[in-house]
Amino acid sequence: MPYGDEFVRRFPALSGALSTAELDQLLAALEPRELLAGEVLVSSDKPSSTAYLLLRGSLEVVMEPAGAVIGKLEPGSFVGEVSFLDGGVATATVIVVTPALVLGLEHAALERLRKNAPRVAASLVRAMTVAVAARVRRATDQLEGLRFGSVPPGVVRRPSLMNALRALMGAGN
Amino acid sequence: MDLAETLKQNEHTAGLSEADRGALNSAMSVSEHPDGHVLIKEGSRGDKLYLLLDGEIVVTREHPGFSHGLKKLNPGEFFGQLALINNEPCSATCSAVGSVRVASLPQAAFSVLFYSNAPVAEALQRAVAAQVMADFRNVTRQIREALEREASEAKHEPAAGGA
Repeated sequence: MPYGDEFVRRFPALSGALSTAELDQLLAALEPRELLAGEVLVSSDKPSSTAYLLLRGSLEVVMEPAGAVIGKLEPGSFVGEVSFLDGGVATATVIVVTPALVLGLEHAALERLRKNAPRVAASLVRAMTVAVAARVRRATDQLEGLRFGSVPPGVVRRPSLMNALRALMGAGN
Repeated sequence: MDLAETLKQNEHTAGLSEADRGALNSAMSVSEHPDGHVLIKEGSRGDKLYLLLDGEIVVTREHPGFSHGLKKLNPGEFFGQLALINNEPCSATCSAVGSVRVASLPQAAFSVLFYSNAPVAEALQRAVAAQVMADFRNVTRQIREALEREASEAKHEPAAGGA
């Protein structure tokens, strides 16, 4: 399967939970897409009907309407997954910085995967859920630190609203 | 509400067949707890998934000397599932407000269901995904509101320096 090795490298937890056959089923459900610098992958305040797995390249997260750059997304990130999972609008705009390669998940493909390989579908949704939960947790750490001055162990950034936003979006500098 | 009825009404388990709901019901144990009882402690390794049947649960972050309430849970809501699927310590404490009745599913039984009953696994998966996404939206809103407050305060500050 093309991209198989790259996928395993970038999404080790997800691929580690799958057999070789299941990994093939998962990759078959995803559509690879090469992106050019400057392309807008996700638009703020619009729903994203596709969830993306970033394999290669770098994306920038921008908060509208100010156009403030929050940070960058690196390979191994999910993009658009919250909007994909809850049907709400995207919270930020995501723009391609360096030429990138993403794997896209459409609802129809996930439904087919649910019928044909339910545990593979469950593992994928679980991986996205766990990733978002980790970001919510780190953002909450920041907000709690900001409000009360006490910071849980392991929090390296000085609490600030921008750092809370970065944590929530999974965007490093 | 009893467990069978709660599972019938919960939006994620309502669509299960009676047999599958029955399988989940059988795997769970119902217990009652008094006001203040801590069901999940922040920082601990969670080992149970819970479904609140009666009463109210408060979700808090712990600080030296006090707790900060993040949200309240109502009957029909699941909690504790994240700790079963992400190998991380619990990110918040869940305590009873008044006496509560809960149904619980221990880790081992949860794993058995995940591997043996795909519809139940999916229903529980949807429940935890819905909660996490709702938490995401909630935190987004809090940060946005705080940024707007900051921006509007900055506008109203008098200009620095000599006039």
